[in-house]
Amino acid sequence: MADWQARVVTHLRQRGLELPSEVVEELATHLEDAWESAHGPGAAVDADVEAFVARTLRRADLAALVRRAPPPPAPEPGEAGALSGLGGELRYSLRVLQRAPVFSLAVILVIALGIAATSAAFSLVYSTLLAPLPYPDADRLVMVWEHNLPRNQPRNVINPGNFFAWSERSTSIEAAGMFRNEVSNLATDDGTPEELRGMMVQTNILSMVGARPLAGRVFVEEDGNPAAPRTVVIGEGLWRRRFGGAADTIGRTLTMNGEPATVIGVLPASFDLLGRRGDYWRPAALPPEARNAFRGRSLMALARLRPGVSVAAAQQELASVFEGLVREHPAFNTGWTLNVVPLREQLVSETRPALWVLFAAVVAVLVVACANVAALMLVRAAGRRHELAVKVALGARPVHLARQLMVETLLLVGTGGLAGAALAASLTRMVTATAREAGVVLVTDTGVGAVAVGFAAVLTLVTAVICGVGPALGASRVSANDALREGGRGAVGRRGTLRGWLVAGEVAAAMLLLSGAGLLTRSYVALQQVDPGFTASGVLTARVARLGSAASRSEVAFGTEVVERLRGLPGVTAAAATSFLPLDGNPGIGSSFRLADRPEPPDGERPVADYRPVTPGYFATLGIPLRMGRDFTAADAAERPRVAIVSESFVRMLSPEVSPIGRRLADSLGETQEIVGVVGDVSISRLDGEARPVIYLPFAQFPAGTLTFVVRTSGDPAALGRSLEATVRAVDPNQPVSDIRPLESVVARSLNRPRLATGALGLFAAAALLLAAIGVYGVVAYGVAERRAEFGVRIALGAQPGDVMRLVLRQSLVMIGSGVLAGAALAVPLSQWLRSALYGVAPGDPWTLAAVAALLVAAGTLASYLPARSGTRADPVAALRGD
Amino acid sequence: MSALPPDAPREAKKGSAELVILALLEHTPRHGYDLAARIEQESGGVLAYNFASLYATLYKLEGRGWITGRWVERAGQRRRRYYRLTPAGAAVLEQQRDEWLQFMLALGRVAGIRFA
Repeated sequence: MADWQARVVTHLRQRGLELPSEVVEELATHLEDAWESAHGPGAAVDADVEAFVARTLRRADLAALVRRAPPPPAPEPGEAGALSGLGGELRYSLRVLQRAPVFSLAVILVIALGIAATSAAFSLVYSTLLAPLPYPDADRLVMVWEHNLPRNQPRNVINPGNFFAWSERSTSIEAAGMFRNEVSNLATDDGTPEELRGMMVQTNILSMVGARPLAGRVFVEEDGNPAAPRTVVIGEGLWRRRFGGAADTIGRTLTMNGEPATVIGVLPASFDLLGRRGDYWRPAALPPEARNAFRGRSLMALARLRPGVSVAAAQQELASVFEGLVREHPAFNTGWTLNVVPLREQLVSETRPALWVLFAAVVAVLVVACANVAALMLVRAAGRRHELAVKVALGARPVHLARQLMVETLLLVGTGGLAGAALAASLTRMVTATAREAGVVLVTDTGVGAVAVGFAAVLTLVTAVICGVGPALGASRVSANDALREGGRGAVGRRGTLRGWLVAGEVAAAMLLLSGAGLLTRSYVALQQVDPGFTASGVLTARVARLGSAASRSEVAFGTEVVERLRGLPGVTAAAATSFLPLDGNPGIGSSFRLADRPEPPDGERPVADYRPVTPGYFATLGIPLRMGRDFTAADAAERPRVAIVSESFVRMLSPEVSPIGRRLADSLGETQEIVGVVGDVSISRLDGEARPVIYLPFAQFPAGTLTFVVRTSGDPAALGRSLEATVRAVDPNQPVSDIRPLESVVARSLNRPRLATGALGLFAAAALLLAAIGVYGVVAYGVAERRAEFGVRIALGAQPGDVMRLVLRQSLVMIGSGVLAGAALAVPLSQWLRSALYGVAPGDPWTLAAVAALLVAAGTLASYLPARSGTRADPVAALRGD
Repeated sequence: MSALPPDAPREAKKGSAELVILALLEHTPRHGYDLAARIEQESGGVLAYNFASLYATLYKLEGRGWITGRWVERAGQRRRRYYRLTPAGAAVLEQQRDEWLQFMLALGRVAGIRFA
C-alpha cells in the first residue's frame, strides 16, 4: 500500500506535479486494486509496475486531476501567516481525531477523570495546608498550651493565673489573649428559645486576628471590665436570623442565659476564629482575683509573637519563664510546661496525616492518568508512522509534522481539561462539604476550585506535551523510504517496551492506592465492630444547654423532673441524663485524684481520670453493665454523703487485687467520695482508643456541664423526638433543646473521619484501577493489532486460537505482574503513613495485599482478554497475502 | 445499455461520465475503483473512462456538492474513500436522465438510430 503511494508521488514529482496526500492515497489504492485484479490478490510487484503506473497516470489527463483535486487539508504553515496556519492545523487535527473516535474519547476520558479526581483532592489539601491563613501577620500567631509532661498531654487547656504571669513576663510575646468555646441560651420574644454557639474572648482577641465588623465595632479593653455594661458582638448569621439584618441592630439588647447584653458589632459570616464560626462573641470579664487563681485549667490562649522571634525561640523562652511558675506554685505546676504551637499547625495537625495520604493518592492518580495518556499517545504515534512517512515523502518538513502532532495533543488535552474542570467543580464542592462535616478545618473555601483545576490542568498539560513531543520527535526522524518499505509495521520493539513499562507503572500505582484503600476499609469495618461498652440502638439523646433564665429552677431539680416525665412517655423503657455523652466529641472533664487512704503522691504524679456526672438509671438506660456494688439512687442527693461509681479500667489501674467498694477518693478540689459501684468500660472519646479510667458522680452532687438526656424506647427512637422536646418545654418553656438524635448516629458520627478517609482513598483507588484497566486494554489491543499478521501466520501454521490467546495473555500478565510486584514492594513501607489511621490491621497486611493483587490481576486479565480474543480471529489468508 | 457505438464521439462519451457516476451512486456508496470496474463491466467495455478523468470528475461532482466522499476503514482492508449521492445530486441525476433521454430520442429521430 505504502509502496503504491510512493510510486504515485514519485511519478507525479518526475512530472513536476503534486497532489494532496489524501488524493495520492486514493489514487494509490485504486492502482493497487487494479494491479491485483489483473495479476491476482497479493501478486508480486515486478518490473512491469513502472510501466503500469505510467500507462494509467498519463500526463495529459493528470493536468485536469490536479486542477480538480480538493485543496490539501493542512496548508503549509508559515506561508499564509502563522495564524491561518494554526487554524488550518486545528481543522486538520479535528478531522484526524474524528477519524479515530475511540482513541480520542479514551484520551479525553482519561484526562477528564484525572483532572476531576485530582482537583477535588488538591482543593482540600490547598484549603487546609496551603492557603494563607485569613489573619494579619498569621505567621506570628501561635497557640500557647500548658503541657502536662507525665500524662504526655502537650495541648492541655490553661490556667488564667499562669496566663497572666507568663504573658507579662515573656519578652517574645507582643500580645496574648484567652478565650473558650461555649454555648448559651438566647431568650426570644416569640417564646422559642434558641441555643447559640459562641465564644467568651478576652477583649484583645478579635483585633488580634483582624476581625472587621460589618457594622458597629469590636471590643475595646473597657468592655472587659467586670463593672462595665455587658456587651456582645454577634455573627452575620444570627444578625440576619434574629434582626433581619437591620441597620439599627447596634445598641439593641439580647438576653443570653437570662442576662441582657448590648449588641455593639456584627462580624461577617466568613469570619472564623480557629475554625469555629460563632453566633456571638462576648468579652471575658475577669475579676482581679483571676490573676491569682492557680486552680483548674479551662481556657485557651492565642498569642502574637514579636516580629523576628521564631517559634523555637519563643518556645524556649516561655518554657524558662514557666520554670519560675513551677517554683512559685509547685503543687499546681509541677510536671507542667508551656507548648507554643503555630496557628496553622494548630488548625491542621490532626488532619494533616490524612491529608498527606490523600495528596499522595492525588499524585498516584495523576501518575496513572499521565502514564495512560503517554501510552495512548505512543500507541497512536506508532500506528501513524506510515501516515507520517507518506507526508515526508510528499515533502512535508519534519517541523511541520511535529507541530501538527502538538496541535492534536493540545486539542485532546483541552477538550479533556474542559470536561474534567466541569466535573471537578461539583466533585470539589462535594469533597469539601464532606470534609467540613468531618471536622476538617478549612482555612479558605473561596476560589479553591479554580486553583485546583488550574493545578491539575497544568500538570496534565505538561504530561500531554511531553507525551506529544516524543512521538513528534520520532516523526521528524521518519525516513520515507524505510517506513514505506516496512509498511508502517516496523517500530514495534523499543516503543512496545516503553508502553509496557508505562502500563506496569500504572498498575503499580493502582496497587499502591488499592492497598491503602483496602487497609482503611478493613480498619473501618473493624471499627464498626468495636463494642463501645454500651448498647446504642433504641436510644434517643437530646442536649439542653446550661440554664440561665432567672425564672428557671435549679439544674438538678429540672433534670430530675424531666427524667421522671420522660420515663412516663409511652414506649419508653428507661431514661436518664448525663453531662457528657460518650463519643460525641466533647472531651468532658478530666481531673487528678488520689485515694484518700493513701499518702499524697508527689507533685505532678497524681493519677488522672475522666469525671462524668450522671443521674440514677444512666447505666441501665445505656446498657452499661454494673459489675459490682450499686447504681446511684435518688437518695444520693446533694446534702447526702458523696459517692462515686468507677469503671473497670479504673479498678485495674489502681488496685486490681482489692475490692474498690467502700474506699474513698479525694478529687483535686479536696472533696472526697466513697466508691459504691463498678461498671463496665465505655469508649468515651473514640472507638479505637484504649478504655480510660472513669469516675461517675451523681449529677445531684456534681451538677457540671451541659445536660444530655438519654431515653431508651422499645420503638423507633427517632420518632420520640417531638415528645421529648415537649416534655422539656413542659418543665421549662425557656429551655431550648438541641441535637436531638439517636445514640446510633452519635456513634456513627464519631466515625466520620475514618469514613471520609476510607471513602476518599477508595474513590481514588477505583479511579486508578479503572485507568490502569484502560491502559492495559489499550496497549494489549494495539499489540494484537500490530501482530495480527504474525498471529495469522501462526494460525496458518497450525496454531490453535487458544495458543494465540495464551501468548497474548502471558505477555500482558508479565506486564501486570511486574506492576503488582512493584506496587506491593512500595505499599509495604508507604502504608506506614497510614499507621495512625489504622485499627485492627497492620500496615503491609499480607492478606490485604494478596486480595488487592488478585483484584488487579483479575481486572488486568479481563482487560487483556477482550483484545486477545480478537487476536485469535486473525485471518490466515490475509496474513499470507501480506496485507 | 449499449446505446453508443464504440467509436461514438469522444465528447459525448466524456459528457456521459457525470450521468454514469451519479447513476451508479444512486443506491450504493462506492469507492473509485469499484466505480471504474462497474462502468467497464456493465457497459461491456464501451464506457471506460481514463483513470485520471474519473477522479477529476469525482472531485468536480464533490466540489459541486452532488456527491460526498468519506474515508472508511474496514477490518483487514485498506482504507478507501467511498462516495455517496447527496440530495442535490439525486435531483441533478433525475434532470440529467431526462436531458439524455431527450438527446438520444432526438439523435434517433435525426440520425435514424433504432433503440432495441
